[in-house]
Order: sequence, then C-alpha cells, then structure tokens
Amino acid sequence: MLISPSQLMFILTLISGTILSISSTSWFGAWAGLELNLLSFIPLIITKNNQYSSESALKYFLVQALGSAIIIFSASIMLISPSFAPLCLALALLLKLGAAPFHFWFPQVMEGMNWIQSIVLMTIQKIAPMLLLSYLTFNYLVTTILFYAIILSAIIGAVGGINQTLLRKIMAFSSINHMAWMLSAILISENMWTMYFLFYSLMSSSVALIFHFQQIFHFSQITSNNASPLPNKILMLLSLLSLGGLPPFTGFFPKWILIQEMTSSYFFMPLLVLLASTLISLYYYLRISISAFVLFSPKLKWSSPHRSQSLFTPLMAFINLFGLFIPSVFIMF
Amino acid sequence: MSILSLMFIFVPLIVVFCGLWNFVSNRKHLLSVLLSLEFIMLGIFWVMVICLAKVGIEAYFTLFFLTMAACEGALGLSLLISIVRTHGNDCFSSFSTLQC
Repeated sequence: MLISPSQLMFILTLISGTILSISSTSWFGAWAGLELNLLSFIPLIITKNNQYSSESALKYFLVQALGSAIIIFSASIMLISPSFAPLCLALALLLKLGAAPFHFWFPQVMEGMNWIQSIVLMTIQKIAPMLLLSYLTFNYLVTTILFYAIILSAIIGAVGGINQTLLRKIMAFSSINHMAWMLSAILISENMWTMYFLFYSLMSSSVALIFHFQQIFHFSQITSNNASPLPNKILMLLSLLSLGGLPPFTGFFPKWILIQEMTSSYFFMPLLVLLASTLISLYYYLRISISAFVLFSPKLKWSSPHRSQSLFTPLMAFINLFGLFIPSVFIMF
Repeated sequence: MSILSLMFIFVPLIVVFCGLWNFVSNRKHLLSVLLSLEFIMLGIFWVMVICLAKVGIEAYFTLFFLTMAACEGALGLSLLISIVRTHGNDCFSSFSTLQC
C-alpha cells in the first residue's frame, strides 16, 4: 500500500490535530485542533475524481464546519452564560461525532469513501469529540442530553442497519450503535471510554480490513464469494461475531466491563436499551457472515485480484479470539 | 448577569442566529450555503471580540480565528469546484448518489 508524500503529511497533521485538541487547556485550543483535523481529513477523502468522493467530502465538510462554528461560538460565550454554553457545546460535539439524533450524514459520507478512509472516519475522528464531551459531564443538562443521545443512537444504530445491503452503510450503523456504548462509558469514567474505544477500534478495523483486502462493498459480493479461500471466510465470521459482542471473542470484553460498571452505577434504563440494540445489530452481522458459508452461487472462471495479506489473517484471528484472556493478566499482578 | 451587560452581545447573537438559519434552510445552491457559513464566521468573530474584551484579554486569538475561518472558506470553495467538476452544477437536487 503506497502512501504519497502529501498523504503522509495530511495523516501527520490529522493525528497532531487530534492530539492538540485533546491536550489543550481551553476550548479555543480544542477548536483549533478540531479545525486542523477537518482540514487534513478532506484531502485524504478526495482521492478519485468521481461523484462519490466529491459528494462525500462535501457533506462531511459542511457538517463538520457547522459543528466547529457552534463549538467556537459556545466557547466564546462560556463565561457569559455558564449554563447554556456547555449544552450548545455538547450538541455540537454530538453533531461532529455522528451520534443520533445528528447521525443522518454519517452513512452517506461513509458510503463515498474506501475502506481505509472509513477506518479513519470510524476510529480516529471519534477520539477528539468524545474526549471533549467527557470534559462537559459536570453539567446536569449535558448528562441529560447524553442520556437521550445514548438511547436514540442505540435504537437507530440497531434498526437502521437492517435494511442495508451496502457494507459501508452497515458498518456506519454499527459505528453509531457502538458510539452509544462509548457515550455511556463517558458518563461513567474516562478510563472506561479509553478501554472501550481501544477494543472497538481493533474490532471494527479488523472487519473493515478484511473487506478491504477482498475489495468487497456489497452483500451480493459476499454471497457469491466462492473463490476466496476458506480461512478468509472464517476470519470474516470471527471478526463480525466479535464486533457484535459474542462471549468467546474479544468484542465481548468491553461490553462485559461496561455492563458491570453500569449495573453498579444503577444505570439500568440505558443498559436495557443498549443490550436489546446489540442483539438486533448482531442479527445483521450474522446475516452477512453466515451467507458467506451457506449460500452457494455459480463459480466464476476468473478470480478477483488478492492484495498481499501475508501476516494479516493469523494476526486478526489472534486478536479476535484471544482478547478475552486479557483480564487474566490483571489477576496475576 | 444584568441585562445591561448583554447589551453588546445582542446584535452579533442575531447575526449568528440568522447565519445558522440560512445555513440549514438552503435548498437550491451550494454557494449560498458556503456564503452563510462565512456569515456565521463573521458573527462569531464579532462575538469573540466582545467576549474577550469583557474578560480583559487582548484579542490576539481573534486573528488566529479569522485565519482559520478564511482557510475553511477556501476549502469550501475548492470543494464547490470539485462538485461542479463531477456533477456539472451545484444544485442540491443532484446530490443523490449516496442516498441511504
């Protein structure tokens, strides 16, 4: 995978914008980091000169620019109205994240990017707004807003993905669902969020990388996937079930810890909605993964080009299968 | 927080609100959305000058903000050019390739 020098520069400024945003001492510095993040991500999206990427870049730019404008406005009036400004700031940060009820741009933007850019959108672009949200949870109105955002995001992430056949949109709705879990982790503590985010980024990037190496974008490409070797299909099953949070796989671990913390905080109502929505989202993961094995389609004479994946399959299988041994490390020490 | 202390913020607050209203209610052209974004940035610049003066800080940050707003405006315009190159126009009704 070749990275051009301009892409390298933009990746570096993307990461430095995120780090600047989360390590600044005032909201003005946070806004500066978010702007740097936006300005470096747009050239990374526009790689091809077709309708998909330009429309996706435009929608992403408009939404994020609106969010940044509201953030800097709330930062300016923070000292004048200390009760209203954090509310406005939290709403703008939810818009930048793509959490419900501000999620409408997220599946559309994700549809126009390839898998590597989608991984960056799902993982790195979520770090700064979520950590900035965790600086606002002292305010009662903000926690109320977050409460409703959690419940709405869980329901919309679960139900919205059922009628999708394009895999990037399915991953977008799964990201919205996981964002509901991450927002509830923010309400508990920052370490919870860090743990959940690390595991979530590992899981979702492993799923997206599997799809990237086989260049699969639609559900029909999975059902007619006779030519791909069997370890790849098994790895797809493992990764998707892990993303859905089934117990023997790694993806269960963050949900397990979060369920435990939420029940000890008497946070039952969102927990019920989150668990039910995870079950529904597991349905469409299972639909994808089982179709690769069960459905038979005519075998084609030509084969799609395979990208180089020498170490990839065993590494991803290891991450997805043996992550649940991590608590045993902490018991020993 | 008496009413007199809000006297200076009243007009730029209206500017920001009008810009936000115009941003979200455009149906025809992309260029008017970008124009309203610049209007929002102008209103926020005014709000920022007032709020920093109330606190007593010198307004060095407003220059930085103005620079970043100009960068964003330039990026928006280059995206508009990219849209016109691929779609042929900048009307919102032709942005339907990514519909959910």
